[in-house]
Amino acid sequence: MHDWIGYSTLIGKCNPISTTESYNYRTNEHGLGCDVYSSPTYELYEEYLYDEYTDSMLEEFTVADLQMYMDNWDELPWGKRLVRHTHTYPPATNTLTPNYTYSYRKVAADPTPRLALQALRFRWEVPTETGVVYKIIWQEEYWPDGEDWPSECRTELRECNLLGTGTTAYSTNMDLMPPNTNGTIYLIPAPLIDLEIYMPAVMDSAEPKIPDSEKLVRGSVTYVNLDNDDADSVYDHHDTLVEGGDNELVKVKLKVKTSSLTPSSARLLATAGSTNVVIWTNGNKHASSAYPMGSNMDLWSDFRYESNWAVKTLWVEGISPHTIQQGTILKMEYIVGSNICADEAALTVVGVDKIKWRGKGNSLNDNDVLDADPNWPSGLMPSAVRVFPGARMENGTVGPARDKVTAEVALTVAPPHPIKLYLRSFDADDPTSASSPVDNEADEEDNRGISPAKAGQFTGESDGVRELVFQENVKTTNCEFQTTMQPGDNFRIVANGDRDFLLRLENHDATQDAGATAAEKNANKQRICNMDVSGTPAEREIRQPGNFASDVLTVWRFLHVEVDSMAAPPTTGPEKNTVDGSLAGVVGDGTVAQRVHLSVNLKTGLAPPDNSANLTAGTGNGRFENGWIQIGSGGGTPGQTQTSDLLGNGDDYVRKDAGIDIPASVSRSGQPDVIGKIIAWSGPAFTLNISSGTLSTNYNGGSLNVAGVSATISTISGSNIVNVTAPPTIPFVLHDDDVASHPYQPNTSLMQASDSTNQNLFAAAYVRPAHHVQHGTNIAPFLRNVEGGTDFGSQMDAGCDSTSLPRFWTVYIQGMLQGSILADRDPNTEPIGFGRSFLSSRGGAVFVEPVREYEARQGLQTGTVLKKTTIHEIGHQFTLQDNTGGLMNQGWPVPLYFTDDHLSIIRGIPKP
Amino acid sequence: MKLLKAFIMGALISCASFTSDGPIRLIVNPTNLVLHLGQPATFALGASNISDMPVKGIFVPIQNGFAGLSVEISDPSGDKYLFAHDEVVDDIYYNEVILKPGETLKSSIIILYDMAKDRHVFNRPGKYTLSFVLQWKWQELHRTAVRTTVQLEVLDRDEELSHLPSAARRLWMDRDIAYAFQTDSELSDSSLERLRKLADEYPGTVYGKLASDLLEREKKR
Repeated sequence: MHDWIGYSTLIGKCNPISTTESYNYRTNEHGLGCDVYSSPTYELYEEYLYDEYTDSMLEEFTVADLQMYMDNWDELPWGKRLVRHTHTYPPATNTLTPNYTYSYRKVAADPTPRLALQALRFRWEVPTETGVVYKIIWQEEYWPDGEDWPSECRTELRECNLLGTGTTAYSTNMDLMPPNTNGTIYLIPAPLIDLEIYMPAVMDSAEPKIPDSEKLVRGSVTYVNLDNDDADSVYDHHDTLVEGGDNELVKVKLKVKTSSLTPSSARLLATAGSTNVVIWTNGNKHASSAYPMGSNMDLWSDFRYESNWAVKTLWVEGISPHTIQQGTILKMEYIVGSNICADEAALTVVGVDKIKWRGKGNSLNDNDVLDADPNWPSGLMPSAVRVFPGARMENGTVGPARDKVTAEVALTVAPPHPIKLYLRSFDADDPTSASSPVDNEADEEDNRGISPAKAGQFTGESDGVRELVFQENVKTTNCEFQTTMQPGDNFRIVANGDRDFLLRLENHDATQDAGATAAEKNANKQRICNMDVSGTPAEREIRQPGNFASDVLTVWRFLHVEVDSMAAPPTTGPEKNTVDGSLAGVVGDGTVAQRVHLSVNLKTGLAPPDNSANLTAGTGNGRFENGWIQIGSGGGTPGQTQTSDLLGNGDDYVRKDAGIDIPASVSRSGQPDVIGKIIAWSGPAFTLNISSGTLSTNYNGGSLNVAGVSATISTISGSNIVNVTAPPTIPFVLHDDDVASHPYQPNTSLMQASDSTNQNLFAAAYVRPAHHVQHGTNIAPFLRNVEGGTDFGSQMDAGCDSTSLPRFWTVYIQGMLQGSILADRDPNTEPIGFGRSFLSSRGGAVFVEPVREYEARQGLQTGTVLKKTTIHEIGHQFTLQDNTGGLMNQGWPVPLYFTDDHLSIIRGIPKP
Repeated sequence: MKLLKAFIMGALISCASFTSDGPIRLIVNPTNLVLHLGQPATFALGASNISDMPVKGIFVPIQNGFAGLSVEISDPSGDKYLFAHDEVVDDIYYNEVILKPGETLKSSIIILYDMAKDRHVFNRPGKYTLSFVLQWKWQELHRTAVRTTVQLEVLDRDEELSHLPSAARRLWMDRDIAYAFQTDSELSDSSLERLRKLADEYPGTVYGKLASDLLEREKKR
């Protein structure tokens, strides 16, 4: 409590309202009579003594006499005084002259030397409130007689406390004794001093004065001075001259009002938080205006006169932020003689403690806690967190984009007044690349998203700057920030109390691309610099970047992958993956059956027709190369048999030179069975290669069993030809070398829900596969071969359940058995259709059977090529094209990564 | 004069663009070196073994040039991109074949509409640089390729030649028509109607002639 009653509210009321004064004049004319009486006569001696008393004796008597009366103060009513002019006279009582409030000691030389002493008793009358302690201060100032005035003036501050009673109260009685040397002690009001403190221009351009009643309990507030108000090449805190003034500086006025003539001085110091501030005598911080804290300033030479006050203006700069309110207590001391009176005011220097990103249900785990960006280079400062601004599925539908986060700003100290802080966002440099196409450092901004802006946007910002109000005593507040939607885009926020300063900041990749190492360059490119300040990027960087700038916020996107398979192959109808019919003949080499003619034309008799190069044309081995054929029926002996590893097929036959197994037996009642294999068949004649028994006419009329199918024998010709009465219908089932079984599963092992590029090649593009939909509601029908054109589009449309949106990225991959009939590796000389895709999210396909077969023939681990093909086809849906490097190269082997060109396209595309 | 200059320059560049340090030369012969806005560019292509030895590689003519061929386009604005011939891409691993010494495989490609960017390729006047790259060796991590570059100039004839009304161009520059033209696919009814109107009302324009040609092709389908 520094609001002294004597200074302000009771000024004028605290003059002593009554005094009791006693004084005694005693002169050297004072005569001492000695009367001698004798009876009946008397003798009279009279003697006049001059200069009977030395000064000391005079004083001694006078003081003694005065003291005698002072002992009787109580006998005097207030407002009266005792007066006695001679030692021997009794004192008279008279009324005090108003304001006759001084004591004195005076030697009067004319007409005759005499000593006058005057003492004063007084008390203070104060209207009071109950329980309030009033401190009353006044000044007892001695003015000497003679020419030594005013240099010998002395003053002494006095004070007393007074407990309020709820009515007029009086202080204790106080005595003002005469001085020891000639002069007068005046009872005068205490000097009025006032330390005024103002709001700085950075807080309020009007720089209002903090009311007296608040200057210590709230005080002023400013920001730690970290900007560059004069837009020169030096930050203000190191500047030797801030042209036009520094708006963070807090103006204080040291004011003195006194009627004292005693030489005096004043000074400003800090009783707390002195290291947080420095003081200047000029608001432009000119080097010569540095004020050493606590140094005295003479009232008459250093102050100037303003409206009855002596005034000195100083400016206080906050150089480091407080962590408590009123962290700096400024104390003005007014020194007069040995007395010091003081006034205080408080200042809170505010800094930014931290700017944090907080999610809004858009973290990796859909909550508010944003995790570290796994693509952020290790050790690079600042660090980075990531946000997934894409929409989520909400109640079965795609919700709105979650592209807003919270920028939470914590100050170092809660301000004692409402204050404004300004925020600006920047498109931070991409640290994962320093060259085109991913990051052309010649461009100041490298984010790809332009909505709402490359640097993102605060909700409620104006001209790129967001005003953030911290209410009184509130340390932390926040605002909403909207990101772009492109993966890899990143942002930083800078805060400052000076809006204009923010507009002079930049993150200019080209000029900041400096350093001896890539890491150093990366660090420099993350800095937010003042475009006016000169020097290295570190020197140009905003001050205290760890506090006044946020970490980096990086956009990641979920890629919702719908993984599908076409339906299972039917067992009937044209799309079944086998050919069946009956045998039309057999041709052999005399030992084995090498060609089996079929009732079905394998080129023209199928739907769709198969124009694969075959044995008839002599251009290839046909679709059924390496396939198998089942001949006959039933499980008896002989019964149905299967011959695998066919050489291939012609238009209407299959061939295997090593022999096609067609078991046969010849039987007749009473005869032993003859066992063998059919090695030729034409019309009614079957030629057998007999392995057991001997064929003869004894078997005429018997039965020929070919792979479980019987016919009646008409005649036996020679040793191995059986003629039948009617050629039997010998069924066959023909299958190519396809092995893949339903479901035809794409392999997404290179695009797992992972941040590791070993498991997710999209991670380099800040894309994380998620929510794989396995076989959604829509199922595409089975097609043995899916050609391009409308067939493929229909197949995609039939199976796809998802729709890609800019706010919800989806891709669709369908496992199909085979692609084009001329690229399904049936026969083996055909090219291999690994997959096919739209250059859009309409979808893509992997052809699992040709891929499987390729893997098998190359001796590759199962899935090796399929996983590459799966992500390759999904790459197409980002418009990536074939043979553009990395995994987008066709064929095998290929490097398993997306090239920089690919990454740039993926990161720049509105949606796959 | 401007046309002649453009032609000469284009021809020079074209002739000088048979660059090959290896055994294969990629020949790229544009039908026109100067185009109208929205006009297709047709290129006759040849993959030629210029060495004395047989060369084994992916030499497969396909509808849009060769397997392993890509075309990088640099437009007058400096924008560079890979031309997307179709909206669907087939990933086929072709078998290597042998190209005998002196043998040339021929193919062609029409460049009209980029299916990835969904816009006409020659949609603004100025110089276009087209780099044709044939990757003919795939069975390696680092592929073998040959590159040939040509330049074309697109003029805004609407400004230079008043008898070419921009209305004709607007009729011609239609995605469906462009796709059908470029990929030799079937035209929709609405496209046919649009082409007939173009052929009938603007027979003397390059766009009218293109429409007539396309309608004729459709009749033979």
